[in-house]
Amino acid sequence: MNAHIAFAICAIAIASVAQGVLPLGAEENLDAEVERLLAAKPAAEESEAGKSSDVVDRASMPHLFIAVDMLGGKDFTAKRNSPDALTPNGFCVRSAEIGFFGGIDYLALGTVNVAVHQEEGNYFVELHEAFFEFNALPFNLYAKLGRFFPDIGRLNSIHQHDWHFATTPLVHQKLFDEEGIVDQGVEISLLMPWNFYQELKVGFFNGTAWGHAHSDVLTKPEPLFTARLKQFIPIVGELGTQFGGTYIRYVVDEGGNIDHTAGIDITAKWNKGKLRSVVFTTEYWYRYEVRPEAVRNNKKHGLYSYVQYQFHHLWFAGTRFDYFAELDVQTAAGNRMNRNSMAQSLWLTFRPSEFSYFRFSFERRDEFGTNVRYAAYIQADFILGYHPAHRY
Amino acid sequence: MKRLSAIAFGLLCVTAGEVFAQLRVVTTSTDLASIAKEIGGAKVFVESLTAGNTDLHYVQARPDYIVKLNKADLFVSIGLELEAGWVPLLLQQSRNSNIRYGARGYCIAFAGIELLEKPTGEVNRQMGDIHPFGNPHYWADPINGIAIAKNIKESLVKIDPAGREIYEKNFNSFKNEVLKKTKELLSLMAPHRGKEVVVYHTEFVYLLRRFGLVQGMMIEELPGVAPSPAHAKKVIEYIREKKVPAILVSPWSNVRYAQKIAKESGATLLVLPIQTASVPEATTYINMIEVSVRMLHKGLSQ
Repeated sequence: MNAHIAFAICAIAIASVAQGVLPLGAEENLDAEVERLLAAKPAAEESEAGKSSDVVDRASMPHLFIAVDMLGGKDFTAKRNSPDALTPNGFCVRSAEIGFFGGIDYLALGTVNVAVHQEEGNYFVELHEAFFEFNALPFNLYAKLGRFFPDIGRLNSIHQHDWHFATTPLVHQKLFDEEGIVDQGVEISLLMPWNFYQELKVGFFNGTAWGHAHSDVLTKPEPLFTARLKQFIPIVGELGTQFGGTYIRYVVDEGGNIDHTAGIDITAKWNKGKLRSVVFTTEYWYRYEVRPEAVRNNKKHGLYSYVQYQFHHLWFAGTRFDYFAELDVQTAAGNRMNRNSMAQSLWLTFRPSEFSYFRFSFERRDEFGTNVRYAAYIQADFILGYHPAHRY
Repeated sequence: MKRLSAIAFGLLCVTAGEVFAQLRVVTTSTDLASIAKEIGGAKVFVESLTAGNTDLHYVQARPDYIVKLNKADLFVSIGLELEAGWVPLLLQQSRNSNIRYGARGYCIAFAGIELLEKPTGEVNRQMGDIHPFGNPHYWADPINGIAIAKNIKESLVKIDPAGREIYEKNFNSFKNEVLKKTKELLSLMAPHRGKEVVVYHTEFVYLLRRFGLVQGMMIEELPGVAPSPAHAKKVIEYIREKKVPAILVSPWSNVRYAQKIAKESGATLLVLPIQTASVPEATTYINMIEVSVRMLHKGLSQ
């Protein structure tokens, strides 16, 4: 135990005694104590911080968080630095995010998130997210405006350092990007007026780039359109499940090439405080690529499913299955066939608190039935500062 | 038949009218819900977001809670960052500006309560899950329950001034009942005054203080941090050396770990249900206090 902790624990102990965590246990003065208690300041005059200067500070200062994601990997089947390798056989800080969020005014909240992340050995600084959240709109509406990860499917709007696994599922890697789609635009959601949770979201984004690109690639795009409906069903006790359906329309270029992508996702969760938990998620995507110049339009689909079980209050074990297929592809011989890829992964996560974790992961990946590879990963992440609660 | 239908329709209208006339109160815990029911009576419809055996530090921000908050007239939370991991997100998503922090429909339940274990020195995460504004488990002292009831009453009067008389009347009944029960339980616990107990987590400090007991060593190495084998050994030695009669643990803590320590040290393990509805007998807040204190009395009398 270091000196700071020892000092702090002593400080608490001293403060506790000074405030009277000494036993009471007598009934003689109980009536007088209740009278004193009832004469205390009314609720409106109290504050969480207790001091007006603290309140001013808390109101004007945004929350700050820093999230660091480190990843080390070894591909046992590819040569070092081979372009086919699943991982470059090394250890790196994959990304470091610095985020600020807080109330802007009575109408909106604001978030700014700057990320430094590694791509092929070089670090790039990018504005990951910067957006308004209007949470005081009429008719149960809610809006986000700016640059952010659209709420499409299950994984896209969850930051990579909050994923339960180290690597991107095949279907996301092929249809979206390593870290999902981020774009600039507006997303409006409506909480349905039922007695159960159902939310409809529609989004319009620039659509000048797809995925996590650092520069715009299109000059005269049509907006990227997204629509999502999700519903939550409580099952029993702490067990609940959420279903979602998503549609994305993306105009690839000015030549009439359009991608229509649709997906469904299911998540079920159960937990017993911080002692035990189970998470199951599956996400299926289908893409229809309209290509007027080509003989046929392209079709692709895939899914991933994973389950994670917390078997000890500090330890989690999980497994994931990935599947992806390019449908009806023309081979060199002129035949048409499906090109399938599959992957299986296992992981073990040690999470001493909600602010750090260490993950050991093993993956088998079989791309298009010709290239089976095995890789192992070590992931280490931490968060400094205040991290917002995770959405379901 | 027509007459029967008319009567049924009339009854339905009356019932529906009563339901719609009720204020919707949403609380984070079953204790706050129980107290809110006592104060609001028939004028309120009260829902707790969590069940009685929930560890309030670790709750999933479930989407169905958003719906409940969206329709709420009054939101009552424990505060002091106990629910910091889930309530802010739910309030933000609720689209209900009437129950935002600082709004008329947001009730701070701890106002006026003397908070214990407020850290005064440097506070950082290496100290474990420290609550910088003080220990948030204040409802375990029944006298603090009266203060909670007062705060809920004042919030209800703000949003429904016409009901003031009823809320005042209900509050006075609740206060008198709590006072009577507390005096009875204080007499029961009189033989145990000054006794020391070991706790798994510092969630009993308000209860222990009220009934004249002393909180000794904590099984958790730091607040919210599970004990290492070395720390567990120290706890066992401490219990043996000081002849501590009992170990207190809540149903949502790691009871198995506390059981092992109790077995090795010879202390009595008491799983105290310090949240309403965490056991079937603890049907109301006052019942919960009584069940917990009687269990404590029985355990310390062995």
